[in-house]
Amino acid sequence: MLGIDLMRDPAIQAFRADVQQFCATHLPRDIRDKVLAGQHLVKSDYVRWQKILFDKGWIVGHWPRPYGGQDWTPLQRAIFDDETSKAGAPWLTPFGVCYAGPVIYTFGSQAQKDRYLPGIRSTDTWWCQGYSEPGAGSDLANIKTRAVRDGDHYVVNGQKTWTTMAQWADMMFTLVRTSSEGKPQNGISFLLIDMKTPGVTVRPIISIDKCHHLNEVFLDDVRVPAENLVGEEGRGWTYAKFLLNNERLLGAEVGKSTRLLQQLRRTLADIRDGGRPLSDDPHWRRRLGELRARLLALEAVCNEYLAAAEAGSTPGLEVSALKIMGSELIQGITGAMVDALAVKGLVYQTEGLEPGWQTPPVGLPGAPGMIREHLHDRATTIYGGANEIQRNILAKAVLGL
Amino acid sequence: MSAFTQEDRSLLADSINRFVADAYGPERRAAILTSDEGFGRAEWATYAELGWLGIAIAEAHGGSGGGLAELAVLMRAAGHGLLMEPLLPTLVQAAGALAGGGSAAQQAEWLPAIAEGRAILAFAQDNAAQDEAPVIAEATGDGYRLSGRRGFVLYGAAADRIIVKAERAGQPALFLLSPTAPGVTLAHARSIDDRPVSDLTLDRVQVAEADRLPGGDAALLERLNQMAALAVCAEAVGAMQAANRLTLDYLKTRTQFGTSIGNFQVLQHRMVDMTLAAQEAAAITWAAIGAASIGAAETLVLTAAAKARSAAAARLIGEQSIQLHGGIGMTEEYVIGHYYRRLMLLETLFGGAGWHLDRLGGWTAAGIDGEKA
Repeated sequence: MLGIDLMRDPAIQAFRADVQQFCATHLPRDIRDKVLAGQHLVKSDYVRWQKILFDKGWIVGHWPRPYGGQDWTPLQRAIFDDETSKAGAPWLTPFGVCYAGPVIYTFGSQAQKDRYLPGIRSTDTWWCQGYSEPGAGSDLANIKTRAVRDGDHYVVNGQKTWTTMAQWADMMFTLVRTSSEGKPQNGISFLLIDMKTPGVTVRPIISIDKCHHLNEVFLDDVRVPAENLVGEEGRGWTYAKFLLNNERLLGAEVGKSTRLLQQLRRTLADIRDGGRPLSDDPHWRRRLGELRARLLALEAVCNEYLAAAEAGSTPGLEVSALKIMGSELIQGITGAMVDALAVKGLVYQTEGLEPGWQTPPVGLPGAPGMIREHLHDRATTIYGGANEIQRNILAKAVLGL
Repeated sequence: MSAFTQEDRSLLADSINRFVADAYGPERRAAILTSDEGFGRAEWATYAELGWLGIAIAEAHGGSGGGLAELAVLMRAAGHGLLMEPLLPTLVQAAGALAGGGSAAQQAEWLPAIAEGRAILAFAQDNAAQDEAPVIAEATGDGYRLSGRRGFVLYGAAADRIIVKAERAGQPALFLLSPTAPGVTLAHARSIDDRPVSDLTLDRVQVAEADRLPGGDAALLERLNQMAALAVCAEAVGAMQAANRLTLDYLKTRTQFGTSIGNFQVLQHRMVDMTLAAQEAAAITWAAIGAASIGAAETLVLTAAAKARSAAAARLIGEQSIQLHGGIGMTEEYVIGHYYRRLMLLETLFGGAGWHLDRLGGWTAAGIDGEKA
């Protein structure tokens, strides 16, 4: 079945309508306003929304029923993701519900499932991802953080970096080196670390948007109970790859691009140049049209993959295409926003990112949020496997070059 | 003609680069960025002592009689070192406006003050050449009453005077405005590259006839904006060359997959493209500045080409220097993101690529090679 036909399926349309309706009635207005204005969200904003989804049973809709999920198909999950994003819901922080949870229920012990899954579902436990290191970015297998067995503990030493929202985290799932023998991938293990353990230090990294999302996490003689090892020692790489495969179909971020394109459209109507709105300018119309065409095409590509998944095929490495197209489209849209704002001068009034900020803005209203988004989204082609790496994957695995 | 020889310009460039290397390091720059004013008063005084602030001011007014070519040397170094001081509005726009259109009394009062570092001047017009909401200058008995709004006034907060573009009897005019005059309101923020910038609101501000620049007409504004566009191109060239240098160093030193990442062909080609872009932008910028310095007819088209090509290069180099640095390029602590934001701003000043390409395309379609239509 073609993706576009699948989208017209009444059951699928009904599900989409359900999500839209739910967002319309349950997404708190104050949170939505912050998201749409690109303002700072605090931890409690994320938690509040995720608990609303939890009460609805949707926060882990993509999990299997025995673990509290709804057995959503990849298509349902994609629809949920797109519609919540379009509605102005906060980013659904994936570290617990999309990353740690599925690894734990797939590879973890019963004790780990009992202990961690409830907190992940309810967002009572905040998770972060301890993967990248200063020397291991694109080359993730090169991690040096060591975990040495000492009785019924591992002693962990090393440094993680680019750790998103670690400043709020209770737990970190971590790739650590338990062996230097053989292939680098084979000596990696998947360890759950309580952030309150002595020896764990979180240091903020301020990014070029002047905001604090990222952190360095230093691990100095951190004693982690051996029972926090997920699955087998030396199999961490396999688990990490399993996790990536789970996420690939969401890499396009169609919902976010849809929302940003709406914002661009409004911005072009608001900004006047030479006596008329930018949206009347043929250059701008063509640019807006091109971005819309890219978005529609991306959605069509996504739908093809989702239709294939619906028909039972497991997405392969070719899905890297979604990450490339999606991230470059987001950058195309935010770049256009900044070009539009530039007509009146690029003021970046970071105070305007604070919710409830009342002073009349210097420059254009809404500019701080759009500039923040643009600067922040320069990272979309870097994180989660830089686009150069994604293209290598396609060249090798798909084209056989 | 400029009083500077090519050798003088090299010496000037060396002296600025030495200052930046010795005295404008990351720590000092970070302190300046977080200061209230957002630029270095002490540095400004040093620039005056070193003679930089007077390089394009006539010797009769205490300068050394250079011109755009010398300013470009200074601006390139400012881009290279990411200097935060108000060189562009004070030296290029305000001093240029006073020299080209000021009365003898205005020149005598302000040009020496600029050269000696005693006065900072800002310039308030619309960002591009389009005048969306003009400030209106209404004639009164002995002067004018100015009302209206100007956005994006760089260094408006620090300015001893702001030269404001206004509409007088349907024609553009320039006025020297005291920021403390009754009816003047300034709201301050920072630009995307951390510079102080203000919205200026004028509510029936009284200005004397003596504060109007007698030669401040449309032709002067066109010349000034052209000069400022080229100064910005020069600044962008300096920033692009510095960003390319840092990125190239990173490609050579960053190791992943057991080798320096500069060994990956895709990154090699990217870096080559960035180098070519900077080379092209530099060449067209110096060509346009050379033409402007002798008043050649092709200045107009060369300026449009320089601004358009340097904007394209700035975007490629800014974005790709972050991309090639990966995560470290996203951090505020590391300088490459500051180059990116500086280049983002420079791209937009005095007409973005689209605005210049529209003009250049129009002239080209009409078969105009040099002189204005």
